[in-house]
Amino acid sequence: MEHDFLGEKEISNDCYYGVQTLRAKENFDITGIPLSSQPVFIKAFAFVKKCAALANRDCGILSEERTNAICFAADKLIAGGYTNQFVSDLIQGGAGTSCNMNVNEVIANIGLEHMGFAKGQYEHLHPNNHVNCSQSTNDAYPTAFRLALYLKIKDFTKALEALRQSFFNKGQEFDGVLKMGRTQLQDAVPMTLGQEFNAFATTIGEDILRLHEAQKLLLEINMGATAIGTGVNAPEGYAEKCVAYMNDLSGIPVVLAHDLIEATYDTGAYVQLSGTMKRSAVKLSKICNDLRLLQWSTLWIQRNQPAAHATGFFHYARQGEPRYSGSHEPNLLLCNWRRPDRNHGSRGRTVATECNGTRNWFCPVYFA
Amino acid sequence: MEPVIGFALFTSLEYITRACYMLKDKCIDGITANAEHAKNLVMQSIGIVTQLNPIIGYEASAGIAKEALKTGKSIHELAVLEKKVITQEKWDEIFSLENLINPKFINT
Repeated sequence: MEHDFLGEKEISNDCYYGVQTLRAKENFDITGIPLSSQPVFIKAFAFVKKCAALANRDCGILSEERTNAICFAADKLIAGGYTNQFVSDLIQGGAGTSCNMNVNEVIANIGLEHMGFAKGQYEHLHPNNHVNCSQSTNDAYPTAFRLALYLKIKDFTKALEALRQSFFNKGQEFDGVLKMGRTQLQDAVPMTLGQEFNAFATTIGEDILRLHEAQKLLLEINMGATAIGTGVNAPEGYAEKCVAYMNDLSGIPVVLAHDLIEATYDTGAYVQLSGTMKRSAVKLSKICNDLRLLQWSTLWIQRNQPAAHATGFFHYARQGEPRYSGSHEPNLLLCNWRRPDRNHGSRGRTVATECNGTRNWFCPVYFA
Repeated sequence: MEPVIGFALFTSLEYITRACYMLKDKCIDGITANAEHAKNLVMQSIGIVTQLNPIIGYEASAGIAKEALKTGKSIHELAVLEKKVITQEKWDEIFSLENLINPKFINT
């Protein structure tokens, strides 16, 4: 049995989350996808809670014992433990209060057990009073979110780099392969296949640079802002100490926003990242379309010769199984680009249409 | 607001990251070129008449292109063998692989 200001609720003793998480679970059944699906976000959140506890201790408002318990619990989460305790829906009302409270409650209950108390004995370690001390959803959530995005972008740029290298290698391999270059889908002047693949590598390299720029914007955080940026209920020097701990313990060079009120309402860095990702998705979609055109070009040019159907610029030799003229693989890949765009609002659908196996290659993505 | 942004960005980043590896592993790494066929397409293309432009001029080039389209003859057949507007030697210089990749300006 646990209580909050709304009343009492029964919770299984196996659970590390508490009454507020349970209410969130009941109230927000939106995506059906729980917070546990984002382990990087949970780790980032735990890390923020740890740094906040250390800063609170240094400011003299959190006891050594409670700080140690919070750090112990946070380290467990950072190591990947207790993931199944994060049951609140990824989408919820407000600015992420349910996620924040889910983290606070799980840390409090792990910490309580570590201190030798039973789960729910919050007088010793409280989710709000201690784990969330000097914080608000409006600073803890975006800070953890930014850290998680920073790490996820790292994975994405690594994937793009692997792809860039693959195109570059093919560029070298096709160095001496002469082909017809085209403009507006029509034969123009000769070039090599190597030049074309090398250009694919270059353009992906440029996107990696743009992602580094978008990633850098996410390093500005607003810890200590609390609810709206005025820093109400946070002690003097806490924000700076918290950021210093984040830097020291993660090695990620986060900086405190100079205007906490602006930083608390601003979503510019997310919009920038969304735009940069869309840029990459559109460009990769264009490359895939070019690959399809390269493969099909023989069919267009020599469409009256049946033999042409059995050949093309490309043979897709995968696992020793060449697939002549089959557009199966690039189709699969092109369709794949629909999904990243889908999440960026209705404009993304234009890209989806473009890749949808229709031959409307260059429908106006940019003017949608 | 922010959880919605989070959901969109997290899932987008995951999809596009996985899609990159999929594209690389299942497509790009396995691509081979059909070099002979590609080269034949170049030499049969009317588009290569552009390379002759600085030497024989726009009007003559366009005339050859039109005739090639009409008769199905290659540019080489028309320019070198029939009309003799350039020599075989000059043709070989213009259409060497090196010159096609990094074109020099040839106008005599």
